Amino acid sequence: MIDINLYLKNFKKSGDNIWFEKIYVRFLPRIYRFFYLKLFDRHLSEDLTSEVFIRVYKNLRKVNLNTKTFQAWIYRIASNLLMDHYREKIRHKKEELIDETSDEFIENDMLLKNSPLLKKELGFKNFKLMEAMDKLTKLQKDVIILKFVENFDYWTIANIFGKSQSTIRGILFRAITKLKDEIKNNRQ
Amino acid sequence: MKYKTEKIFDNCLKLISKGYSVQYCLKKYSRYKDILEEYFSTVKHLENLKNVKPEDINIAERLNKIYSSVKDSTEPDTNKIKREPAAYGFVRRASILKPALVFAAVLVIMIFSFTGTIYASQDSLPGENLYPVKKTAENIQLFFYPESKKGQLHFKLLNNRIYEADSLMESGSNSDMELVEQLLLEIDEEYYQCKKFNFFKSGNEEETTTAINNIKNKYSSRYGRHSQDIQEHDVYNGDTGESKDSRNGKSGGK
Repeated sequence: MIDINLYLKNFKKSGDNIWFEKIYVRFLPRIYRFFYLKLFDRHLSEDLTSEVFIRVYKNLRKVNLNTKTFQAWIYRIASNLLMDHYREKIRHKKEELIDETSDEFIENDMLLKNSPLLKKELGFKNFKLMEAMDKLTKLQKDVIILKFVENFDYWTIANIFGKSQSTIRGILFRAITKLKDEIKNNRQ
Repeated sequence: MKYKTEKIFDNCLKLISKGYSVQYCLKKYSRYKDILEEYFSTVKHLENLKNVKPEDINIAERLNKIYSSVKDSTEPDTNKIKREPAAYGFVRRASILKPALVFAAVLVIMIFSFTGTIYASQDSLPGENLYPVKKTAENIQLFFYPESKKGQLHFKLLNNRIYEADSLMESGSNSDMELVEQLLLEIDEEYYQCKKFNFFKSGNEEETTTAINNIKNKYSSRYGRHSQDIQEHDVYNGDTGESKDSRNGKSGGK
């Protein structure tokens, strides 16, 4: 991860887009995955990923970041963008949803709607895992993905969600226990 | 038990992040092997999600899209209503407040300069530009002073007039004679006021009359004219009212 530091430093110093492109290539799949595992919509995830990088490109020269803080920053942008998307969706669906206007509902809704396609896209095993993950809260899902899929440390995750590391540790353990039990129940 | 499992699982994650294998952890915490295996099997499931990737996309094309959209957003759009940052709100409000601020600033400056003028006028002598300011300030002071303390203020004014007359005679030329004469009339007036408000009950009348007599004597020797002449002149010219005539007669007798 030392090279990210180098890219950030060089981009700020020279303003050459080649350094931004290196960062883009490195983070594109990760940010895409962050959206896709919540929205289960390829096109929407790609659009939101592009929007994240537009924001990053606009502001990267103005901020002083290292590898760790950059990761937290870019995921915070992604997280905020996702929240905006949910709000927009809730506004559109308000009449239909009435009392069920939570983020979790929208995510579950997306999973149900796209299930045949998702089985193909994610693979049967992963699809089953995502179904099991539906029982988790939105934050539990986010934390578990960032920890075990993106391999982030507690500090970075805590920074993204504005919580303490011990809180994140607790959330993670409860989430993994719940997921483990859910997978076990599905097998039986 | 749950707390201990949480702690052991956390320790295992720490070890793995340091480069140790899962097997090493299972061996280290062999008592919890079964439960840890279940946890790590779930983690392995999750790791499979790393395979989720965007479809083959043209990176160069996407980057160009990013650059062009950033470029578009930085160019000013005249059709769009410009959203002002929150900080501008204060600036806008400040512009509304501007006349009020200017008025307040002018008021403060006026108060300061007025106070400064009054302060500077305190050492002025008759015939100087600031002397009318000093007199006006004294009159205002007299108007607002409590009745019970007016005697004290008149005594202060009497001393001021004596000092002014003395200073004029010390430094001035013969042309100041009229001013000194006017001051001597005022001294008599202030002396009368002090008596009217019973200020001399405290017992400094003798000192005051001595000072008044001294200044009148000084006037006589300086200009070769007796102070009685002023009073007569004043009275006969009818410049003062009847009561003042009698007052002058009184003070002239001293």
